[in-house]
Amino acid sequence: MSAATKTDNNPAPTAIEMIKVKVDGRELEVPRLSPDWQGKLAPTTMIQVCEAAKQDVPHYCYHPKLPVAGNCRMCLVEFGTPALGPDRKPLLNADGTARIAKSPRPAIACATPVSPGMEIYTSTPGVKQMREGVLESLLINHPLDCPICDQAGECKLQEYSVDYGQSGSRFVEAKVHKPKSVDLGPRIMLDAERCILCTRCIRFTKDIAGDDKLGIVNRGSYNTISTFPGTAFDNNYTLNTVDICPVGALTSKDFRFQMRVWFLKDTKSICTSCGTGCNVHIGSREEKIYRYTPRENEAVNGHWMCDEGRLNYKWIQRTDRLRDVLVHGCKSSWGEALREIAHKLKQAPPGSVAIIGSARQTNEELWLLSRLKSRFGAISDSFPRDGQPDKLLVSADKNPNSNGARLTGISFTEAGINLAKIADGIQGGVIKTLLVFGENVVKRAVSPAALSEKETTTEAIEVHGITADVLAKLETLIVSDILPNETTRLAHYLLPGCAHAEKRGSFTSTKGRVQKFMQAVEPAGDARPEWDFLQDLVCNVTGKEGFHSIEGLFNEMAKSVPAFNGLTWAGLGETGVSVKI
Amino acid sequence: MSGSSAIIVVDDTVDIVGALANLSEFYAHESCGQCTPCREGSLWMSKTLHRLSHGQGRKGDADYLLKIADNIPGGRTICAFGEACSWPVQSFVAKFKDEFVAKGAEDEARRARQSAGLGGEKETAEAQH
Amino acid sequence: MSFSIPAGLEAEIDELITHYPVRRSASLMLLHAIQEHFGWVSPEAVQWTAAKLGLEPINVHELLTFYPMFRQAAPGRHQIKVCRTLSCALGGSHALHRHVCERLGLDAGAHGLQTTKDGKFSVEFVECLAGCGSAPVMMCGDDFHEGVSGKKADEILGGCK
Repeated sequence: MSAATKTDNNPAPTAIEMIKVKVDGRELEVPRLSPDWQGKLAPTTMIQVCEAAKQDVPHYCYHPKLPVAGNCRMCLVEFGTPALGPDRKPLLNADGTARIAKSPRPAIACATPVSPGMEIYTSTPGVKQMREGVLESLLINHPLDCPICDQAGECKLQEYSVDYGQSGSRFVEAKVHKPKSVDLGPRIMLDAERCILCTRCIRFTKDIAGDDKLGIVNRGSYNTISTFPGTAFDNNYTLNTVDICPVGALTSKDFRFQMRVWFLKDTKSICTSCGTGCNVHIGSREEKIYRYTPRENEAVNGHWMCDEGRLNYKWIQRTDRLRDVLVHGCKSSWGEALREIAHKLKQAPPGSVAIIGSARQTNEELWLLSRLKSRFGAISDSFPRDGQPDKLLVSADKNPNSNGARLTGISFTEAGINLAKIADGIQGGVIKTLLVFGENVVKRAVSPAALSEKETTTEAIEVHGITADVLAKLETLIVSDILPNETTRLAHYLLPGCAHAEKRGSFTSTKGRVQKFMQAVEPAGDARPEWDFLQDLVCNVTGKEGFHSIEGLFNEMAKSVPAFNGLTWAGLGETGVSVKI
Repeated sequence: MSGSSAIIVVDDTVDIVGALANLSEFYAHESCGQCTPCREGSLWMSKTLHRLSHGQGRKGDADYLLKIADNIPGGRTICAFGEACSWPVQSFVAKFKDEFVAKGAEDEARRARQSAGLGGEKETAEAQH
Repeated sequence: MSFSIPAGLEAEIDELITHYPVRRSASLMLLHAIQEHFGWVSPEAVQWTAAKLGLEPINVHELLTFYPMFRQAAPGRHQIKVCRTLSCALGGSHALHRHVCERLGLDAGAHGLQTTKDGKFSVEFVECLAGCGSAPVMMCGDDFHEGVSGKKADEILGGCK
């Protein structure tokens, strides 16, 4: 991945000369050099200046994080530069202002650097006519099948047609026909007739994903995006091409024909599939999640996310979700169960309680567990979850919040080092009460050989000895989870929890970015956000009133956890704050 | 002007519409397709001229061609090929507009006669758009 | 069908690559050399070329499909190209093309490369062959023929073994 997507690009302002340019008559000062798609300093382009001036310049092929191609010609603008006399000195108008020599030819704003005194014209009749011409050209061979196209509603052809197009078409010839429903790879479909040949997908997969598998075959108006015949477009980032495709040419097999985009509710969230913490939009409608798409955050994921994380949402809607509060297998109520648990905990002798949290829980939930931990002098830990990293975004840490677990004191420098001690403690009869949150401890207690291939490759399995037989020795086993498993079946008290999409909270990424996420859908059945019922439990145990809002809880946690000192829920903003880890 | 600074001398027996159709087919074939105006415009002009030179013309095709051609040159394309493919259309239509109009008018009149003969059925060369 | 490049051709290709500062720049020259040897460029040859130059097969496939001179299927032993662009068209190349097609039993109205059933001839109506001053022109293999009449075309075809 380019440096740009990994770090903030704020070159020291003093190092770069500022120049004055005008956009549609408005003067502004811009740096002579600006970060390019890779974050390297390059001459500032017209399109960057127009963006700074909040002057919309329509474009298809230009993308701030891809190499500039300059092929769509939609961003053509007119411009002028200060006229020079034979003595190379600026010519002046009668009023003393610089005389501007207007260029006889337009320029593409995406690839043309600005120079001191340059004037850019984005709204002249000439520019308007050029945009109309390009749009008309793009549309003549386009199938105009918006009613059945998944891109409709977020399509640049539609949007620019409204903003800059003509109402009718003069085209009366037969359209060029190209391949449709092309199975480009396991997750991507191509409709070559919709394609406007901007080459964003080609540049993305070559220069960002590092998998140069797409190209343009044939010539002229018959140009078609393709893989080498017989090969698939298949890397862990292919679905980003669907996001950056400005039209409906590339569609996601997972999302196509599922839901109209204008019906989707957008919720700002975080991907939980690894510790990178890619920012995502959750698209949902009527309590059903339809897709994740990456949300721009230069400090974390740039514009991208991996396919694996993007498609890892279906478990949230599994029909076998835990929906009921169960006490010894019988349906109970939250109030009753939490009162009983509090009662048992209060009677527990010091050192007889152990807590296994999960680095898939939020900072707030882990902090509440840590308060129980200190109240009872409990031993605690969480499970490591290791996987294969890649060079772009995927972290080797498959937990979204390992740092949160560590900073709140649930786990230690190396997650999982206390698990064997907990097993021994139960075996030895010292530990009589165990709280387990979001981890199937039994499954992860057995040897990897007993697991299916998929399980062993996606999650590193720790052999720590907390087997079903060991759990049977406990006086009280309190389990909260989202999906049923061996451990939830053994629970004396089972508390149904929520997926991140069903609650609010924050995670701390592997690089120490504290980021919050919002609730997209309602929890299943009686399930409640873990922070919500943990508050009640802590209140029952300590007698101190907790917080009923995530804001209050986060702010209280920030005061108590040194690494989070000074943070506030509101202050996290939409893209989070980096802390020292 | 035939576009690429070459000179081809033709006498007045040559069908100027057909000659331009031939040239435009060449340009549509040679356009690389990298940038939009040339990629789409060159084939559009070629299709129109093929239609006009094969009895499916319209009176307005001369102006229609000019409008297509006007959308390509003037620095809108990456290379000069875009200019080259529109120049012959612009110059042929400018110099021999009456021939283009007459050809389209003749086709329209013939189609009108044919459709009258067929009981007033409407014939149109227009592709549904 | 296994694909292999004879040692001699590979030596020639290795030498061609040395002409360029960047290996990728030799792509077209390699395709020409391969087509000259095999008569066409197979998908296996594309993969071989890509591997040779450290490219992805799609990079080479793009070139193969862009240039009409490259063959993606085996053509006839003798390839006839008749120019269809303006000067030749005015000089009678349509009649010439029709004549050649009819003589060989091919469809003069068809698009693209056509090959006779016996695999002896391929005929293609192509864009400018750069002989505008002596229209109509045609090529038979690598031989260039100017001012080709029907009779001259018959002689050219007759001379092909």
